[in-house]
Amino acid sequence: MIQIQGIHKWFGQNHVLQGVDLTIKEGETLVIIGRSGCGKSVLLKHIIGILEPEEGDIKIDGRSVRTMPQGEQDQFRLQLGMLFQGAALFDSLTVRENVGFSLYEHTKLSEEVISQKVREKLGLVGLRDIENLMPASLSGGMKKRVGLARAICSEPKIILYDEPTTGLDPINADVINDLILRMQEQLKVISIVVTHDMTSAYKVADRIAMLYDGKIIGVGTPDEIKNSKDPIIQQFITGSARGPITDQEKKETELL
Amino acid sequence: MTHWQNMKKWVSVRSWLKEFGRLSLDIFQGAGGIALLFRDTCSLLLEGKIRWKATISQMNKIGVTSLPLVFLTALFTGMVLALQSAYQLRLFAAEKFTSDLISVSLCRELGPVLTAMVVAGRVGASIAAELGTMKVTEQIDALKALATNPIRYLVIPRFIAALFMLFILTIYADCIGMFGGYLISVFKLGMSSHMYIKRGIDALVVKDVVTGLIKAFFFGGFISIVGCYFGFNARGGAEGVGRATMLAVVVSLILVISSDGLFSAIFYFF
Repeated sequence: MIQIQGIHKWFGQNHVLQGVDLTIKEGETLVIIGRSGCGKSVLLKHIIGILEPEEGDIKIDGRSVRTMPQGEQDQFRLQLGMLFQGAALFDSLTVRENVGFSLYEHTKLSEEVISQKVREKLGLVGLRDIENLMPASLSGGMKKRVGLARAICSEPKIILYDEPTTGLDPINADVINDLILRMQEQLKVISIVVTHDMTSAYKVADRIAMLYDGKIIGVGTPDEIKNSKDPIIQQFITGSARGPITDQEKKETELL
Repeated sequence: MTHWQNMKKWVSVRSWLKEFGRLSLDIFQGAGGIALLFRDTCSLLLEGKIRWKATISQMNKIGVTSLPLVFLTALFTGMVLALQSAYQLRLFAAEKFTSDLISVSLCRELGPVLTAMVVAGRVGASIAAELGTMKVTEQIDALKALATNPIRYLVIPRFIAALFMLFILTIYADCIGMFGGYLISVFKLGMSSHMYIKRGIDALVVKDVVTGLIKAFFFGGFISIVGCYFGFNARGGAEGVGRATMLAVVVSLILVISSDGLFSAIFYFF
């Protein structure tokens, strides 16, 4: 279980997260929705420990990552896998070295065992015979799938997806959605998906949380979110150009 | 902004002070950041676990591929030094001192400084651009997410490689520079080959060579740490990477020149 308690984060004058509270249960897929630049990815980077909050804490299985010594933190971090928005594959390494990165760096497994595991993980995301290619020769959808294979290579308990369908055509986006569901079924992990693609959110989510103005303003099942009375949530999920979100932005622009 | 507002900005004392304050903050933030990165690099280096394969690959990138440029720079510097010094020394009928002047000035000063400048422009920029691109494409975040320390993975191989390769490149530049001087002195000024080599070696004392090489060692450290720092702090897209690259080269050159002055003063008195 992941408990996010009162997280605050500033970037200079910009107060991005203003007290985020959220609990993610074992084996569930939580989708965090919100406008671009509202701090969804920042929240995800706090969970995996790339960023540290100025206030608040994140506990995974009751343990706070911040208070652990460095070595233990690294081991703990291997229990989490993350798929980055642009896949973030290492340009200078082959697909095999990318996918097996955590095994090459943190285990003493032989080259054959690592290659076998890499093939297995690539198979899980529907790819094969691309181990020796460089990331530059892959398409956008393939890069995301290789990124996912890399995220699951250390067999994590928690998988974080940062805008997995952004920049993909609808068919490839649905392939990724199916993969998220398949990972959930086969690996029984906690999945946190950050997106603003509502089709993807409805398809993969057990629960959906909306982040707005640095806070979680609503959490519920896809049906509960669809039927929410909150005008902010309604404007976002219907994708309307008029409503409280755009009115608020207009006011802020006028004040500036 | 209207023309009048623009004018007002330039004559306003407050805007000048604001600019000065912003610049001071940037300088102190940069100096602090570079010092902290140096401290973290040294402390991780002392813990061991150096990635030798990556370090050797960086040695190739930083050292071996810089050889042609260092060769050209040192060769022409040696040749020009011979021509210019002979031109002046001729007035005192002291042309035979040309080789003394070349060997001492190359080993003490020009060898390490010119090599460092060439490497700062070529390697410092490439380190900052490579790491900056990794930063803006979230590859550095991916390293952290995969429980790998980016300093251990990226900075330490470049730091060790730059330290040793600057050292070796400087020895190489000293030799090539003296060879350049030899070509001019022997084939143009009519000095005998034996005399050029003998005078050149006799003029050198151990301190000349050692101080030059100590400088080279430090310059290598500066160039790699500054390149890595600006790469790690690149923001935005291509523009951010370009800015990081430019800053890495400028700051490296400033550090090389200013520390050279400091080292020369220290070595003069001790």
